[in-house]
Amino acid sequence: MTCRSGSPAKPPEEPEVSEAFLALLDSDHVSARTRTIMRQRMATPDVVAVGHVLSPVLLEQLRCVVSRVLPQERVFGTAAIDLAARIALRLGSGGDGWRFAILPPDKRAYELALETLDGAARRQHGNALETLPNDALDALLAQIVPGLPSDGPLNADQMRAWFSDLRADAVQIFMSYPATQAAFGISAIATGGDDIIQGFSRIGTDQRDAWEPQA
Amino acid sequence: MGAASVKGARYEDDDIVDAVVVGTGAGGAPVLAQLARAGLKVVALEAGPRFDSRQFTPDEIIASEFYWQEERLSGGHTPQAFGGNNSGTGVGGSMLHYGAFLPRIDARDFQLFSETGRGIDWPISRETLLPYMMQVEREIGTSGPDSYIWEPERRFSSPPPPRNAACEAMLRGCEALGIRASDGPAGLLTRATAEREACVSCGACHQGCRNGAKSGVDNTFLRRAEADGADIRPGCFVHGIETDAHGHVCAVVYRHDGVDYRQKCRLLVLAAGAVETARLLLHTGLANSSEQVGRNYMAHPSPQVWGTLPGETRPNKGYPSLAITEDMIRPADARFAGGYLIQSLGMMPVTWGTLVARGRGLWGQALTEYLGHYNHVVGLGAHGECLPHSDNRVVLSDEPGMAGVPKPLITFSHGPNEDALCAHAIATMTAILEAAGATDIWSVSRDAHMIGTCRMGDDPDHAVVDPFGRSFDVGNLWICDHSIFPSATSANPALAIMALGLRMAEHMLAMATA
Repeated sequence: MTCRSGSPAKPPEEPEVSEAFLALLDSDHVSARTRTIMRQRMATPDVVAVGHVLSPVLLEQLRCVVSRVLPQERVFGTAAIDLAARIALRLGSGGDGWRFAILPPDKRAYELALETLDGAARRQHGNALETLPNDALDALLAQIVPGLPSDGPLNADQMRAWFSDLRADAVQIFMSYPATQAAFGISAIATGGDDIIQGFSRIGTDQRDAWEPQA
Repeated sequence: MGAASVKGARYEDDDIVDAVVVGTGAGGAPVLAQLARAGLKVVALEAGPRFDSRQFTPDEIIASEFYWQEERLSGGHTPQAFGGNNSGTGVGGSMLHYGAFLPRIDARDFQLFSETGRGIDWPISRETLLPYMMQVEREIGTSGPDSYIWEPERRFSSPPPPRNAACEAMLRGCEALGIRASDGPAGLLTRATAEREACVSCGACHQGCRNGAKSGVDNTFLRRAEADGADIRPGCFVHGIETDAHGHVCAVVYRHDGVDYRQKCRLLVLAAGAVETARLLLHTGLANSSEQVGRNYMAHPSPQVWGTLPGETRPNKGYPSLAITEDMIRPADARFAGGYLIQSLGMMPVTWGTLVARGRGLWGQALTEYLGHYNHVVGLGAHGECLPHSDNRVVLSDEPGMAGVPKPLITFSHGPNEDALCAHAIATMTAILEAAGATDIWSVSRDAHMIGTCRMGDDPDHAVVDPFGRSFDVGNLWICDHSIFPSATSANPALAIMALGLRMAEHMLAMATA
């Protein structure tokens, strides 16, 4: 099975947020601002804006890599959060306050890392990155932390640093997404409403307020 | 254009104010409050915005609005992550997102060189700083146990908050191992006052306290300062310092909404943090005859250990870092100078996921599966001593940043002492979590806080400021933030920074009336 079998030009449907979590979101345990933030996050990424940041080929390559770095099938079945498109939007909207000094600015680092990976894919497997079977792509990614043999624009140290950034970017988008918090039963957004900031009453091991979501 | 067009401005550019304070966090706020109370005309220039705390959000992505988002370049063998917890901006500074953990620096940490022959002594003792720490605690409000094991005479204004799962696990594990542990000292009101609500265990201290229970400076020192007439200007990034023929500061230049303004002043206090204070001094070339500006950058080695419990822990709930042990300030079997504190850790999901992604190094199915265990994990974290090293430093990069000031490049590498301390802390915390019944235990080495770069000392050849924070080179330039710490100590920094601010202000006022 290759990444392309999922027809990356048209990403999968995004996961639904459970009714129970939506009810919590609409309850007075969540502030209006937080509710708006979460609702906006559920919107499908703007493809035009994404296209301004990453070319179609780079986006497809990133989708393939991210689908192996943070696979979502066991959480959402055939649906998936389009993490790659959201990473692209983030790359286009200014940084997060720092970068590894050995890497160029974030967007450039992503472009060069994908170019480096593509070069390694062609050299090792004779195929473009986005056409590799899943197991070959996994084998390629598994070389990054020990040290990817590279004749591409980024060396092994730079690839290792970028891979750390990639994992962090993917996880941040994934964990902040309402459907993920619903699936995992996370109550972090429910710190209190606007009129009354309730917080939590039941604190400690195995203590759960009745209105908290469950996995 | 006059400064009156800057929102909040009370004074005009051409008014020569008594003091300008750059930065409104733990360093700037107490100084501002004390100078304003004494009747001085004071202006605070804050690079970040003024937030409405009721509108803070527990959503961690958007809560990054109070982190310093301008890019910093992080190098060295143990490059530090910035942008998140190791940064801050806005009226209230990093204390908007601090964890409210308020240990006092141990007396031995002030004299590490005398004790061990390594590191450096502070030019002041704990005895000197203690009254100011107590003054801070009274003013901002604290919570803690009736009798704190390591300092039974220490008093708190309210009792500890409810214990979350991480706190319970740490106390359980420590008890099994014979390590003393207890509810810790927190900058948190658990009883409402006339002005402030009580903590509701929402767990979002690091995303900004929405009801004012957390003792920041925005709801304490800064409120008092403004009531006493201080002029706090948000959105003002200082990028120039002008001096007169005698080499004294006479004005600062700052950018607000893309326009440069100039504020004349008699005194300047830099309180922008160890990165930005050093960056501004390096950019202006001031106060650096010692060539120490930017050097001896430190961070607390802050390894964490995480495990999984069979029961639900829900790490987002409750005051995050309630349990503490100070038993490792000088471990008996230590093969390193200094020591460390251990605290229990609650953590919001995105912060925790980022730690897993970077620190545990998981990817693929293993990563997704582990993220799904969020509601069952518990963590412990340490803060340890960091020895100053001249090659760990802040310099200006060759990339332009805000208002033409080059972006800072921070180089930080652990030395053998930090490595040995981390290994000891990880072993201790692993044992505690095992004793608490956790499984699937893993650790991560990381660093917290930004320390050093403008060290205080008695010798002008080896320090940037004197023991009160006054520049040796520029008589009316003062520094009060984490940059003046000669060594890191093992304590979380906010309390000592605020105490140094009160002490500095007292000295400034005494000089002014002398």
